[in-house]
Amino acid sequence: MLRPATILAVLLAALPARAEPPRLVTAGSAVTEIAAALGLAPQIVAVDTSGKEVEGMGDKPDVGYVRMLGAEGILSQKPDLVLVSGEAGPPSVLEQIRAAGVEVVVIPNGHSLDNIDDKVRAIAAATGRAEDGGKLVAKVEADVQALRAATSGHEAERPGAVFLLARHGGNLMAAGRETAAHAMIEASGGRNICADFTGYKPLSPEIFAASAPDFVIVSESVGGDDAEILAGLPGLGATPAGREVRIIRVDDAAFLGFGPRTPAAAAAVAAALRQP
Amino acid sequence: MNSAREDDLRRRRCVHRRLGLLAALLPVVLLAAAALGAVNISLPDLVKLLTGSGEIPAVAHAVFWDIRMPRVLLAALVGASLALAGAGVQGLFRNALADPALIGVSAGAALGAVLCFYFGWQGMLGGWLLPVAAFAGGWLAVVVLGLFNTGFAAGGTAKLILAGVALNAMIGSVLGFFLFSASDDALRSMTFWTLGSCAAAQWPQVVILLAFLVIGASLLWRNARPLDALQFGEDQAAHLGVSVSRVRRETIVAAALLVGAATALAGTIGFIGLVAPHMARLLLGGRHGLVLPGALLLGAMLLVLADLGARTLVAPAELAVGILTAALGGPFFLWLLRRPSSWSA
Repeated sequence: MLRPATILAVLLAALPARAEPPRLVTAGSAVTEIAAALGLAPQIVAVDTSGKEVEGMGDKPDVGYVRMLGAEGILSQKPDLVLVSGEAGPPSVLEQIRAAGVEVVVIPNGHSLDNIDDKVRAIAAATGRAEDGGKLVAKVEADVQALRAATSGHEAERPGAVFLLARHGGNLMAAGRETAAHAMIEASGGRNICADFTGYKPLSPEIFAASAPDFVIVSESVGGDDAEILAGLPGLGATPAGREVRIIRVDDAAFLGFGPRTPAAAAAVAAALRQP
Repeated sequence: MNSAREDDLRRRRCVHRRLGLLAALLPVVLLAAAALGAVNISLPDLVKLLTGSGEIPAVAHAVFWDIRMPRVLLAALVGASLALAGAGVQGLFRNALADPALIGVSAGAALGAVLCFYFGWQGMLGGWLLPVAAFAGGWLAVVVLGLFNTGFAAGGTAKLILAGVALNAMIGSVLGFFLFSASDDALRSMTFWTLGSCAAAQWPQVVILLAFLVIGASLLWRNARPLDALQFGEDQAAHLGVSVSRVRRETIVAAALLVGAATALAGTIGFIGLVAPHMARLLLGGRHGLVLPGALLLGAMLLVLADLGARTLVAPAELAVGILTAALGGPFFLWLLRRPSSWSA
């Protein structure tokens, strides 16, 4: 019954569909970073606002803030697969995207160096990139091992450090426990001097002066040279001890993102912390 | 004498024509908003979608019926609810600057929502905890205010406004504490929530808000004449046989239902509750029998258009709708104010 013309038509219809790689929308900076590291960059058709900072993603369409995504905006990019991090939402929007027949894969967040390879594996599995995934996992694990080797044996003399976030007009927020920055300071062989509170809190000048850190870690995006930053530290800038504090600048997407570049960023901070 | 009556008749007819025009305009605005969006749906496809005949791509079907339609309708219902509540509260307080926020319901709802974001609970119960907490927060504020209402007998409305101001300030201080100590991510979510969005719209939300709108609107509708009487002053209204404390109670309950539900589902959206009733008054005169339906229609259209801008202007991303309500409604309101009108004041 099948005429050759029909068979040819069916084949022609099937061919482009098979040849075209799936279109991806990614949300969450670690997810976008991992996807790009797996060589999926050409397939990524849109990213969330944080993804625009990832190398090579600057000119991709922006689908908005990862916690406040819009269903129609994402669907307008005609994705075959939407990869999002754990904080992505609102939940009803993810449901709507699924209801439109587009697969949504949520990659759980984890604020630990041991979670990065899980994220890589999940993304590699969802996109059929098992081989590239295996290579990236091996690299991440090697970086974590190198970091552990560099920081072990120095547990007794861990230098005091604090991660500061500049927010609303010079008000400095310090990272306490249960933050990505806390986990990273500890992983880099430092001691977070703000470990007696949780989350980000405005820096108390008195506590800051009393627990005098040896290192202050700030984002690369903070302007001014070291002296200017030190002068702006409440309760410390004016004292002689304060002038001994050293500033470490980090790329916050790498340092706090728990993505593929995070172990290397931690290793760089670990090296800086061990300098006499 | 005769010509004065004819004049009055002509004026009434003109006003009713304007109300009819607004009512006819609403479906046009709804359809236009449903036709436009980040995903391009062609006109023939739109006709097929609306008539339910013919072959349509599955994605277009899902976008139109599961995403865009509930969203357009939710925006219309939220706008209508806020505008109605505003019309009621302005009539009750006989104050052109009265805003539904005055009775504390928006601040209470914001507190409920901010607590959810603070503790990272916004996704719990499939995302329903956030609107429930916001609604509960709004009602808690109104119940506290209601305790004062029973305490104020005659002339209590002025005291009610002051109690509302104090309540708002107290809630604002608690809100400030949580905003100040929130993590950056939570802070960002809180800020977005206070700018409003209809992005999470789904059919259940539309049905729930419709139910609230029906209840709130009927409560206000049966107080339309008492609210007219109240414009002469509380004592005069009492002499005309109006139970002032009952009007007060029912108007506040209606406003709290309307604003509480709308805010719970779409965040705090400013401007509409304040200005849509004024637009209705400028177009239709001061009678509440006309102001209430007029405000409902204008509020609905304003928010549908603002939401259309929110979902298309920076597509594929979205803007917060609160940014656009005033940007869109402000110029229209100024134009209405400038237009010479015999019964505008």
